[in-house]
Amino acid sequence: MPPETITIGKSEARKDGWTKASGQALYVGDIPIKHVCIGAVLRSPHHHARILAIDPSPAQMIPGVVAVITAKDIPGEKIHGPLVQDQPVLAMDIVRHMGEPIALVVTEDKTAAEKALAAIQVEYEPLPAVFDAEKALQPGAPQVHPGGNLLCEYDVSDGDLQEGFSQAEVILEETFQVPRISPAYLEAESSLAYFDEDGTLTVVVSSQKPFDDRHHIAMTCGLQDEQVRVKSAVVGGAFGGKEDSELHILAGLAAWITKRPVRFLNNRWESFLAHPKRHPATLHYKLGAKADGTLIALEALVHMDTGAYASYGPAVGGLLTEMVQGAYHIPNLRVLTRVVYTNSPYSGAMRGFGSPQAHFATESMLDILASRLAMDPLELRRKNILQPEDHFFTRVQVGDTARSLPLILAHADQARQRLRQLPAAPGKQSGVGFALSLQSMGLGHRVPDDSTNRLEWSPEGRLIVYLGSPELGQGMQTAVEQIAAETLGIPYQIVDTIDVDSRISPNGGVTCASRMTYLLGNSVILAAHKLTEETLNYAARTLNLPRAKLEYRLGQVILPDGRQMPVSEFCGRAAEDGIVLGASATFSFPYPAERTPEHLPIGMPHMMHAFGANVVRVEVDPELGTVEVKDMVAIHDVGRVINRAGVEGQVEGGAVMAMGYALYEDVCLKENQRWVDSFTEYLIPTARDIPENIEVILLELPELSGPFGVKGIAEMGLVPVAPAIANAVFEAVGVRARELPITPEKIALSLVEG
Amino acid sequence: MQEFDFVVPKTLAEACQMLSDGYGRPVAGCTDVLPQMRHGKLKTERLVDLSRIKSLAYIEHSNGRISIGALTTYEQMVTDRQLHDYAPVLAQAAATVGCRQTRNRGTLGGNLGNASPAGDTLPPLLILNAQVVLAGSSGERRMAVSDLLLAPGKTALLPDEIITSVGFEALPRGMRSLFLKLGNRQGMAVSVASVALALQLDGGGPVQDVRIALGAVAPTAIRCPEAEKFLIGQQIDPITAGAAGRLAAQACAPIDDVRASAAYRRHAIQVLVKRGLLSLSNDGDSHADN
Amino acid sequence: MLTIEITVNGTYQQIQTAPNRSLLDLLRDDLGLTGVKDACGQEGECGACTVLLDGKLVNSCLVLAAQADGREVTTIEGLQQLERLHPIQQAFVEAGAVQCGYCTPGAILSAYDLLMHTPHPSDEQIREALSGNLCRCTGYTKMVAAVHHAEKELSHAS
Repeated sequence: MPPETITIGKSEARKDGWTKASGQALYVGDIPIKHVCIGAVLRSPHHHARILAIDPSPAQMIPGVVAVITAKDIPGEKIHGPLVQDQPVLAMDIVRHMGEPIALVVTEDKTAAEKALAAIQVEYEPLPAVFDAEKALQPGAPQVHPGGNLLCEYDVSDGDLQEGFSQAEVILEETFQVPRISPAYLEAESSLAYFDEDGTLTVVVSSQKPFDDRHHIAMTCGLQDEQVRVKSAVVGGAFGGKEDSELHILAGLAAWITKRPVRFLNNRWESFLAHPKRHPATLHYKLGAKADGTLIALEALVHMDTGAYASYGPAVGGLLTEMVQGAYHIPNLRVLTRVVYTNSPYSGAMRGFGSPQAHFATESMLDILASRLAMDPLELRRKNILQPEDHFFTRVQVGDTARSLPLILAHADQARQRLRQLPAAPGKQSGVGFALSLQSMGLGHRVPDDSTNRLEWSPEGRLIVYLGSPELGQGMQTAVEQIAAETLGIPYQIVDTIDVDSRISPNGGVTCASRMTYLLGNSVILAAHKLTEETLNYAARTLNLPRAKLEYRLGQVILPDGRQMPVSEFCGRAAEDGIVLGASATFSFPYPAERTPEHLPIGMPHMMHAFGANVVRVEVDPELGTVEVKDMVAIHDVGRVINRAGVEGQVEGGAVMAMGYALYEDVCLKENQRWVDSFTEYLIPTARDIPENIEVILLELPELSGPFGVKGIAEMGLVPVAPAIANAVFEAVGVRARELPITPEKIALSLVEG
Repeated sequence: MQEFDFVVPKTLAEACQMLSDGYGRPVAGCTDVLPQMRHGKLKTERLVDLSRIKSLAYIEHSNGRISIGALTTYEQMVTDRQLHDYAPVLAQAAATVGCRQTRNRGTLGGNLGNASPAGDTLPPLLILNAQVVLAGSSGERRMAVSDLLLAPGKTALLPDEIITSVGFEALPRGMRSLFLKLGNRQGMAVSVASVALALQLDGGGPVQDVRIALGAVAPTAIRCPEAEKFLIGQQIDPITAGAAGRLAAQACAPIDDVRASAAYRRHAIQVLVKRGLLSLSNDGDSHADN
Repeated sequence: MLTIEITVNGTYQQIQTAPNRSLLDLLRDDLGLTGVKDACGQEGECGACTVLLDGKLVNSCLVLAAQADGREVTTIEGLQQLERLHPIQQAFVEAGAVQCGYCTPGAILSAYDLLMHTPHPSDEQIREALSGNLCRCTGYTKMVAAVHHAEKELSHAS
């Protein structure tokens, strides 16, 4: 049993719950601001075209139009990009994907904006386009960028592949395909730019990375970072997709040029076409094993369609490469991953960051092998799971986290047995499948991976957290508040958090990569210790006692005679003296030199991992091919539960999001050569589509470097679900889905064709 | 969204008058028209809002005949007890439309006027041999639903005509009916294929009367006379039901689109027809899901 | 421009509006009731703009502002009384059914509509009632639990 706690492990209600449930929460679109202009974006109707001429003058004459802005009006850098500078702020001579921004209009009202967008004259010369990563690498393919379509390539290997395959008694080759996925957060991208009371350009963002946004806005406007202020609004979901500065750059630019307050709210179709997606990929696997199921060699060739611009594509490619190994010891392993430009909407960061793609292939492949060897898929996995002393093929030692794997398998086995007892509805066929998963935490070696946060006592003795990274809805803020409260021994209820505002907040880093509770939690613990010290020093001065005679415990200063004085007394006095009792601390993700392989590209390797599994029972209609996920058991090692409802919410939400990946979602080209770009055609799961039962089993094997033992949870709830569903469908009707989404059509027609 | 005039007639005559120049479009629940207008797929100079003509929202039953006002919402059809007794297939179909928010707004008249191939009330209306009553400046006329529906989004309505009601004979005693719908997801599903069936057996034996209509697999909802004719006098069993399913599949003319391929739609129709017939012949236990 | 008379959350108002504006536009832009959200681009696909119109649950994006003339509208802002959350709102917060919160107002109104008609719903009825409200964060599980929570609260209260 974990020790008695004040708040850790409890399902404390989140502090923003009241404002959200009452409709008072202010997202970017809700912030009242006088005389705010409408900002709107003219977007490319072509997949690939040369721009011959842009004539904004007809639009400029429309009443209510404040300005029409094109690339030539940009005072600073005209190109941006988080990793690779390849993305024009506004298109200049070429558009590379449908939806690419070409011009901005700033108007007094919505009607003028609609009219102005329609009035801008653009002359295009359409160019041939390519939408498939493998085709884009063939000779003669349309060139998306002057440097060729291969954005980057990873070739990472361990062992001797040839030797491995020569020892193999079974060799399987399979190709898997996964679709382009929209994060489909309910709040589309939004940005509000205005000049604050002292005339500073201020941009209120719905973003995972306000400080990076500030940098890109400043660059575009020809300003220093410090000349721009960014603030985080309430964020309506992000899932990686809001690690993109585009709309914030446009809003900042529009306000800077017009000197007017301007608000940009992307419509849903704009969110589909012009913001990052999860990469579609084709994964070709060649797997060698012994007849007893021992894995001996794996060669994977992966093509990822990153679309028209790099975004985080190179980093996603790196993590995908690492995740191919999954939870298994495979002595001879090579992964070759190519990240390829096409004329598709660009892909970038999205929940799982390459891991969902890799896991669909790896975990499907293992079940195919088990079937070939007539082995129980669970036994096959048991035989091959990583041990603490094993190394990943990146040469990183797996470590203690692997101790969760036998437990996870035991839970999965129990769940599987229980779910197999459940009868199928009449006319349906039931199948139980499962998959294991591996997910990393953190950004990877040689990528700045740290977070600074600040704690202060308010004059009333409440604790104020200046969080340096935005809350996205996932509940990170609540977890950090609980960690701060526990560390200082005070009630959760007296901890308040200030939203990110670059003028007063430290830079906490990008909210991403299943690292925030770990990173922020550690930073806040460090800050809490410094704050305690600060408080005792002040108390010593005030009481005229030696510091060494004072102690801090549970929000009280303990005097030498054993009397206790609440911290609030000192906070009040300090405030009267004009002193703020506060402390900042930075925590950096550990990449200890002695354990961190140096031969890998930037962003590799990841050092910290957690494992999990998902067991599902599906019912398949053997004639119509429809798949219903009836029961689900999610098993995850989270290190330590900080907020139980919050962790469960991450796992459940991730699992249902992954059901969409498995069964419904695909941002694909339609017959008319337009993309699926609305919720009418892009179906995400509704409340009627979820399993009747979702059980969440949380294992707590502590990460010793984590706050209270925490590991990351935000992504891994999603990762094993799609292959688990595919494996369950195979058990139900014998159809092996090698392609997502598993539509009724694919199953029914392959059953008919036999 | 484009600009347009918005007028609110209080009476039918006024409404016809407002439509008589051919520049108007009648609306009620707006669940189809507004999204289409936002996409620029539908343009009009004037929306004529019928929703204030209170006399058009009713479900009446007299002498074995049901009459439903065009402004009756899906939700009203779902909860109307007479409809459950006399034409359960229509109530079932209405229950599968969208979600409660859209069922509270969308109307039977709108489903007809919109003439989507996937309109869920249309196959049931076809097997009920329903007639629409149309009011226009030159008077009232009646027309079979099958004659009203011409093509996707296209009806036989004249520009100044309004659908005022839909009428049909209650299903004969002993005739069981069923609506089956296949969508790409459970919630807020749009039909990929749908089937409305009514079946009367001669004392539990051979088929005395059968009616089959299909949705989302042809330019309009359609009846399947070949399958119906084949079944008359037959015992329903997996073989005859399967054969009827194949005949129905032959009758449809589906398209490939992002929701499904033509081949799958055809396949689905065959399965749904077979399944529906077997279900109706076994126990008459009707359920709208599949 | 048209002049409409509308009672919103109990307050009668006269407002001028263009014919091509939705009730959602009116509530958000003219009346500042920003608890009513737009997530799908006013296509009736997400339920984020759910309100009660004459007591009936509707997507306010699919109602023209002019069609609300003479009618009563209740938004999420009208559900609570002063600083006290309605028991359904409270249940959503306590059950962990709120994450990013963007779908929350609409989902709460759907839950309210359900519990007004069906005081003791089954899980299936709850899922059906929430099926018009897309949520990308929670996986809906905790929303279903929240409705049961609220069901108990409300039946104690009555």
